[in-house]
Amino acid sequence: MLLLAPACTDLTEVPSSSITPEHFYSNETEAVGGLASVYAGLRSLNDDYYNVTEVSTDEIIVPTRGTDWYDNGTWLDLHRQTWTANSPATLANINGAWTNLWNGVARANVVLDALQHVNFATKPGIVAELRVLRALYYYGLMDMFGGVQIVCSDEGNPLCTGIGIEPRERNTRTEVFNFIESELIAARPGLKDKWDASMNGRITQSAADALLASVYVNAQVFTGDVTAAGLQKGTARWQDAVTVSDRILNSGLYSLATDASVGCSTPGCGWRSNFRADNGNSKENILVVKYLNQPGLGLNFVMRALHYNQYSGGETPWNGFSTIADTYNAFDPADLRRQIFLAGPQINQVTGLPAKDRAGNPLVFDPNIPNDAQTGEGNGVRILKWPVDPNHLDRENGNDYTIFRLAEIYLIKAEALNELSPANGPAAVALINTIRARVFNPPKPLATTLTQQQIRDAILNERLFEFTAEAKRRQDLIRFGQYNRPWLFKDPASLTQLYRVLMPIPLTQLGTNPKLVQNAGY
Amino acid sequence: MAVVRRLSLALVVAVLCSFRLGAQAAPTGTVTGRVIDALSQQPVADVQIVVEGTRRGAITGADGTFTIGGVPAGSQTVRARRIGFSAPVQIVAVPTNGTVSVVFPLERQAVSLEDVVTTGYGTQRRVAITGSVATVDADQANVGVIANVNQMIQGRAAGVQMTSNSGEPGAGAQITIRGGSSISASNEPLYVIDGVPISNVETENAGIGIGGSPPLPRSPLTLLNPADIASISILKDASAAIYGTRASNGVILIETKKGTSSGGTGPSIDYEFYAGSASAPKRLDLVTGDQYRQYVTDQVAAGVLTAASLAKLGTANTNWQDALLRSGATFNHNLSFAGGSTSTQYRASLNFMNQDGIIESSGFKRTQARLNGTHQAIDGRLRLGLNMTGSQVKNDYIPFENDGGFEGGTFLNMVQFNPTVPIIASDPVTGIPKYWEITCAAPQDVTTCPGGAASDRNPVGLVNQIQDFGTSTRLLGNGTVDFDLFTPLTARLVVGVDRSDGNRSTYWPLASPAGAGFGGRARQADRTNLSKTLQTVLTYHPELGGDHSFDALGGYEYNDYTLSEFGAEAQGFLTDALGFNGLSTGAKLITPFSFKEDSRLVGFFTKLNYGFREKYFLTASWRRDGSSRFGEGNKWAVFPAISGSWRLSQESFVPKGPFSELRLRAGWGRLGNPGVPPYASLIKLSADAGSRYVFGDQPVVGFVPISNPNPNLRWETTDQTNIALDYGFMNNRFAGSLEYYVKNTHDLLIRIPVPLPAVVGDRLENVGRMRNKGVEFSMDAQVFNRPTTNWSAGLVFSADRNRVLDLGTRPFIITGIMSGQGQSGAPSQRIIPGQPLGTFYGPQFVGVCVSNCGPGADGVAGNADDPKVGQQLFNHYTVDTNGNLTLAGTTNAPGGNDFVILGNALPTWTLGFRTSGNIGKFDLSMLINSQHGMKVLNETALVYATKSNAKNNKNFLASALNDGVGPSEPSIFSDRFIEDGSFIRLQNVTVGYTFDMPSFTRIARGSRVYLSGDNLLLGTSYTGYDPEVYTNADIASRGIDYLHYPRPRTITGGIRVAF
Repeated sequence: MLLLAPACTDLTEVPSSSITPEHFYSNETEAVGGLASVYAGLRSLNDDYYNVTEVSTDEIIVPTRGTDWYDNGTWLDLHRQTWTANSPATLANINGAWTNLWNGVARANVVLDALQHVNFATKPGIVAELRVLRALYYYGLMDMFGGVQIVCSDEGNPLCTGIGIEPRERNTRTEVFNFIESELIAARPGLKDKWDASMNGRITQSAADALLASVYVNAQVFTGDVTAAGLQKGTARWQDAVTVSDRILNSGLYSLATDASVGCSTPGCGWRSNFRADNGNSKENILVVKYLNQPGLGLNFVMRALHYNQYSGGETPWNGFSTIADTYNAFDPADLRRQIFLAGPQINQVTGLPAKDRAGNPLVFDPNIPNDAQTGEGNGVRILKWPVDPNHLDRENGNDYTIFRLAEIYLIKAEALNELSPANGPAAVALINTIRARVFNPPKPLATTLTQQQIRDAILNERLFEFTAEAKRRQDLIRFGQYNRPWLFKDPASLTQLYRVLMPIPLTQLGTNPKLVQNAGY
Repeated sequence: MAVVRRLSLALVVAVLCSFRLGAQAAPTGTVTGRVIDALSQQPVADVQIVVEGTRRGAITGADGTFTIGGVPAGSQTVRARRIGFSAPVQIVAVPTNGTVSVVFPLERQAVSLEDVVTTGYGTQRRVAITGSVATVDADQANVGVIANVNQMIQGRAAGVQMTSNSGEPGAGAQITIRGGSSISASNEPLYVIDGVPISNVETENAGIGIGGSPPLPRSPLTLLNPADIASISILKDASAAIYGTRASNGVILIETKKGTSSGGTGPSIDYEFYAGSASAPKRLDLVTGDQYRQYVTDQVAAGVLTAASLAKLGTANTNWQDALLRSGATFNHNLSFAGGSTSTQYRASLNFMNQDGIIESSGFKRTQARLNGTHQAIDGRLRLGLNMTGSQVKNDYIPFENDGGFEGGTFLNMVQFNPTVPIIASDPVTGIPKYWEITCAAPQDVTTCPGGAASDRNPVGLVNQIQDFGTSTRLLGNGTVDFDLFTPLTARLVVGVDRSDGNRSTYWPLASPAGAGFGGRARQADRTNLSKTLQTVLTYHPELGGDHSFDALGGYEYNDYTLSEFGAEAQGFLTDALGFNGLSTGAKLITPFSFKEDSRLVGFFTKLNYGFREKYFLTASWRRDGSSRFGEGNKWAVFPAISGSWRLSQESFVPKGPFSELRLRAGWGRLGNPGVPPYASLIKLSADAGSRYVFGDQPVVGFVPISNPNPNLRWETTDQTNIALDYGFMNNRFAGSLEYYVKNTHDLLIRIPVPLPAVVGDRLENVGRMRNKGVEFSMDAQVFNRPTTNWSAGLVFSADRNRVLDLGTRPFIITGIMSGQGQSGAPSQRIIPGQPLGTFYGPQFVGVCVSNCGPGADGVAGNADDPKVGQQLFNHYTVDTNGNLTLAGTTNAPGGNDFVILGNALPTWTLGFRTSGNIGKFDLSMLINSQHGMKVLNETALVYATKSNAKNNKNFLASALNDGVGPSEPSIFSDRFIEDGSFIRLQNVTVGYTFDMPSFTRIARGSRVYLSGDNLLLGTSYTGYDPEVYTNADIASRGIDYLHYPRPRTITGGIRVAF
C-alpha cells in the first residue's frame, strides 16, 4: 500500500475517448478531418445567420400562428426591426449568427495553426482551402456586424498575433475588408480550378473569385462607416468586381442551367434544377454547402416552409416561414421563377395528394397575413425553392445550398458595369437579359435603352426574383440604400433608424469581451 | 503545507510499519446487563454500551440486554448512550474471569450532550462538537414509503432542503444545504456511507426523450435500503472542511446498522412488512369532453373555427387523467438478523421492495442483501470490519418530459389529447382493440389509423406500448482494519469498492405512433461505474486526565473513479416481437456510442480536537486535496477550518436563568466544490456528428475541437462562517440551536461564453462570487413524559438569502429555458449580479384587451401591430440614456426593454415540524413541512391556458374558457403565470400499536402494527399539481413546473415482528 502512495499523487489527465490536438493534424488524413470540420460549419450558417438575413427583410416573415411560433417574440422582433442589443431576437438568433460565424473562424484557425508545423504533399492546397473558408466566415461577420477582431496565427502575417482565447479589440471594417481581400488573393494560386466528382463541393479558384467579386461589389458598404445616422459610403471597387467576374465567366468551367441544357421539358425546370436534390451536378454552382440525406447532414428548409400536413415520412414540418403579399406580388406572373411560391390550394409534397389543415379543411395558402401576432395556419405564401428530396430521410434532404452560382456573377458584373459608367448600360442590360432568357417564355428582355438608375432598380429587382430565400436580400437592400424602406409589419420607428444596417453585438457577447465596442445607434 | 503533507505521509508510514503484535495479556472479566426506560421500565434496544478508556463495547438487543467480554479487570466506568435518552455512567468492579451485572435506567431527553455523533473521519461527543452538525434519527425518519435516504432528511434538519425531481417511484432529488453554494457546478452534498465517500452518479443511461429531453435520472441512492441505516449526520458548515474539495455543499454521513453481541441468547431476528397504496391527490382542471364540444361548436358558429373542426369531435368524454392515473401498490419486506459473540458480531439483512407508480407501467423493484461483520482480536487491539451490500434495482420507465418539446410524452399528451375521442376502440373489421390516435380517419373509429409522425399521441398508448427498462446491479463493499499501536495511537485502514452496472433497454414499437416513424426503434445502453477508495488514518487519543482532553488524527485518502458507457441502436424492424432484444434484425443500424472517463482525487488531512474543563472546545482541521479534473498547475488546493465553543452554562459568572445548557459556537472554514467533469480543462478533439461534411456524395469524418482549453480551471471555493447558540432548558428536555451563517463562494464554476473566436462558444471558468446568508433555528422537545405516556416534538426553521455578487464581466446569464409549443427555448430566468438565483425575468402582464387598446409599442395608432381585442397586454418601457426605464403604455408583443425582474423562486423561509408520542401501547408521529415566499412558474398553465389549442384539436385548461383572452392568442410568457408557491404539507402521519404475540407463537419480543400516510394534505394557493418542483431547465434554474409526474399520496400499513 505504501508503494502505491507516490503513484497515487499523479493527477495528469489522459482522456480515453477523445483526442487532444497537440500531435493531431499531422498527416493528410487527419488534416482532411480538420478541413471537413471547417466545412461543416457552413451548415450552421443556414440556421441563425440565414434566419437573420432573411426574416429581417421583406422576403420572409415568421408570423405567430396560434400556439406556434411566438418563441419569446424573436421572430416578430426580427421582422418588425425592433431589435436592440438585449432583445429576444438579438439574444437568440443574432447571437447564434455571431457565434456560428466565429466558430467557423476558430475551427479554421486551429487547423491552420497545427499545419504550420507539419509537411505533406497536399498541405498547400488544404491550407488554401482553409484560408478561403476563414475569409468566408469573416465575410459574414463583416457583412452583419461591421469591423471585427482579426485573429490568426499565420506566420509572416503581421496582423496575426495568435489564436488564444482572450478579449481583443475590434478591427475596423476596412481592415477586415483588406484582410479578406488579401487572403483570397493569396490563397487563390494554391487552389484547384476544379475537383473531380468524388470531391465535389470543395473550394476552387472560382469559389474564391466569386467571394472576391461579392466583396468588391459591396466595397462601398464594407469600407464605409456606420454611425447612428446610417452608412457613410466608402471606396467603390467596381472595376475589380468586373475583372474578377470576368475571370469566372471566361474560365469555361460554368454555364447557366437552362431547360435545354439540363434536358427537361417543364418550363422553368432548368432554372429549378439548381435547387433539386441532384443539384450537386449543376454547372451553375460555384460555392455550395453540401447536403446529404443522412442524419445530421441534410438540408431542412422544407421543415420551415411546409405546413404540418404537407410532408410524409418521419417528421412533421413546422408551418412557419412565409413571405409577405407585396413580395409575392412583385413577381411577374409570367416569370417561371414564381414557381417557388406555394399559394392557393395545397398538396402533400411527398404524396401529391391534396393536403388538409389541422382542422380538416382543404389547406389553402392565402397571401394575406392580416396580423403578424395572430395568424392562421394557412396565411402567408410559402417559399419552396428547394423541392423535397424524393429520397429524403425524415427532415434530411440532399439538396445542396448554393452560396454563389453563375447567375450572380452575371448580375455582379452587370451592376459593376452600370455603376462604372452610364455608357455601359447596354452591356449591363445584356447580362441581365442572359439571366431572364431562361425564365420567360416567350422571352421578356429588358430594354437596352434604360437609364443608369433604371438599370440599378432593375438589378435590385432581378436579384430579388433570382435569389429570393438565398440569403442575399439584406445585403442587397443595404447596398442599394433601401434597407430602411417600409414593408408590411415593419415598425414605423425603424424607418429612420438607419444604423440598423449593422446588427447589434448581443449584450451577452459584449460581456464576454470588455474590449468590444457596440455598433453605433444601439 | 508541505510539512503537514509530509507529516501525514509519516503517519501513514507509521501505520503500515508498526504492527507490533505481541502484547502482554492482562486479566479480564465480563460485564453484562440490561437497559430499561426509567419511566416505563421497558427494555431499550440499540443502546450503545461502552467501557470508557477501552475499546470494549456492545449494543443492546431487542430485550435491552448486553454482554461485553474481555474487559480489563478492576474498576471500570461503563456508559450507556442512545439518541433521545440521557447517557448515564456506572462504575463497576470487574472481577478477573468473572462477570458483573449492571442495570441502566435511561431517561428521555431531547438532546443528550453525551451522544456520539459521526463526524469527518471519526466520531465526537455532541458536547465537544464545535461545528454545525445536524443529526437525523433514522428510526424516526423511516416511516411511510421511503425508497431512499434522501426522503429521510426532508423536514428533519434545519437548512437542508430536499426537492424530489418528480413523483416517479425512485425519483432523484435535489438536496441543497444552506441554499447551495454553486451556480452550475454540482449542488449535491457528498455522501459518505460507513466512512467511505461514494460516487453518487447515475447508474443507468439517461434514455431517449420523446420530442424533448428525457426525464431526470432516478436516484442512485435507491440502492441502499433505508431500514439498514442507523444514523444520519449532516455536516453543514466548516466542519465539512475535512472533506476538502468535495465539502462545499455539505456532507451527509450515513452509518449503517451493525451487529450486536447477543449474549448467548442466539441472534435477534427482525421482520417487517408493509404494503402501501399511492394515488394522485389532485387533478388539473381540464376542459371536459362536453365543454370541449360546446366550445368548438360555439367557435364554429362565431367563425373562428371552421366546420371541419366539428368533424373532429367525437362522442366520448374521456378524462385522460383518470385514464392514466391509478392506485400504485407498494410492497416492502425487510428481514434482518444480528448476533455474535463478544469478539465477533454480525448483522445480515435482506430487502425486497416493489413500488408501482401512479401511472401505468412505471415503477421500481429493489432486491438487496447486506452483510456487516466485526471482529476483535488481540485483546481488542485489532478490530476488523466488513460491510457488503449487493443490490439490484429494476426500473420500469415511462416516457415523460423534463422539458416537453412540442411533441412530448405522457403528461403533455395527458393534458392536450382530445377529450372527445375514445381511449381504445375495437377495429370493426378484425375486432381487435386499438388505441385511438389522431391519424385515425374519424373520431370513435379505429378502422384506418396509419402510423407515422404525429405531434399528439394517445398517452395511454404511449405508456403501455413503449418499453423502457433499466436494471442496475450495485456492489458496495468496504473493509476496515483498526489497530491500536500503543494505547493512545490507533491506526486505521479503510478499503472501499463501489461498482455498479446499469443497463437501459428501450423499444418503441412499430405499432406506436412514436415508433412507427422509425419502423420500430430499439436501443440498449450499458454503463459501468467503478470507484475505489483507500484511506489510512492515524488517531492519537491520549487519556490526559484532569482538565484537558485532546485527540488528533491525520490521514491520507485516495479515490479513483471510472465511468464508461456503450450503447447501440437499430431501427426498421419487421416485427415488434423481438423488442429491444433483436437489435441485429433492424434494417438500419445507428452508429453505436461509447465513452470512458476517469478521474482521481488524493487528499492529506489532519484534525485536532482540544477541550478544557468541559467548557472550552477547539477544533482545527486542514486538508490538502489534489484532483485530476482541474487544470494543469491548479491541481492542488488547501482547505483549512477552525472552530470553537464555549459552554456559558458551565461558567459561574454567567447567570443560569432557565437554561440547563448554553453554549456559544463559532467557526470558519474553507470548502471546495470539484463539480468539474473530467478533462474539462483540456482542449479535446472529437469526431462528433456535427463535424462531418459531405465531399462528393459521401460523408467525411471531421475531427473538430469540442472544448476550449482552460489550464486555469480549479475548484470552486466557499468560505463559510458559522455562529451558533446551543441551548437547553429543563434539564435539556427542551434543547436546540440558533445559528447564523455566511457563505461566500468565489471562483464560481460557470460555463460561460468566451471571447470569440473560439472553437466552442463557451467554456467552464472560475468567475464570479455568490453569497448565502441565513438563520437556522431548531428545537427538540420532550414535552411530556410519564411512565406510559410521552410526547416529543421537533421544529426546524431556516431562512436563507442568496445573492449573486459578481459574474465577472458578464452582465447576466440566461437560464430557465422553457419548452412547449410556441416557447422553443425561450428563457424565463436570468442570473443577474445583485439578485438571487432563480430570478424570473420577463414582461409584466397588464390585462386582456377588451376594446380600443391604443397604439402598439411604437406609439403610433393605426399600425398593424396595434393591440386587438382578446390580445394580452404587457407593460411597455422606454429607456433613457442613463438606462432608466419609463413606463410608456402597453404592447401586445413585449420586446427589448419590456423584460424586467418578475420575482424569485427561492423560498424566504422553510419550516419543518415533527412530533411523536405514545399512550400506552399506541404511538403516533407526524411530520409537517412548509416553504414560504417563493414564486413558481406554472409553465403548464402558460402553454395550456391557451384556447388556440382548439385550432389544433388539442385540449386546454378549463381556466382559459372564461379568461377573456382571444381564441387566436399565442401563449406568451409573463408574470401572469408566475404564482406564489408557498405551501404547507402534512408529509406523514403514522399510528402504531405495539403488542406481544400470543405465547403459542413463541415470538417473545415486541411486535408492532402501524398505519402511515404520506403527503396527506397540501395547503397552497398554487394552481398546478404541486409547487414543490425541480426542473432542470439549464443552469441554476429554479421553480419551473412543467408537466411533472404528479407527487403521490400514499397510505401504508405494516407489521414488524421481532424474534
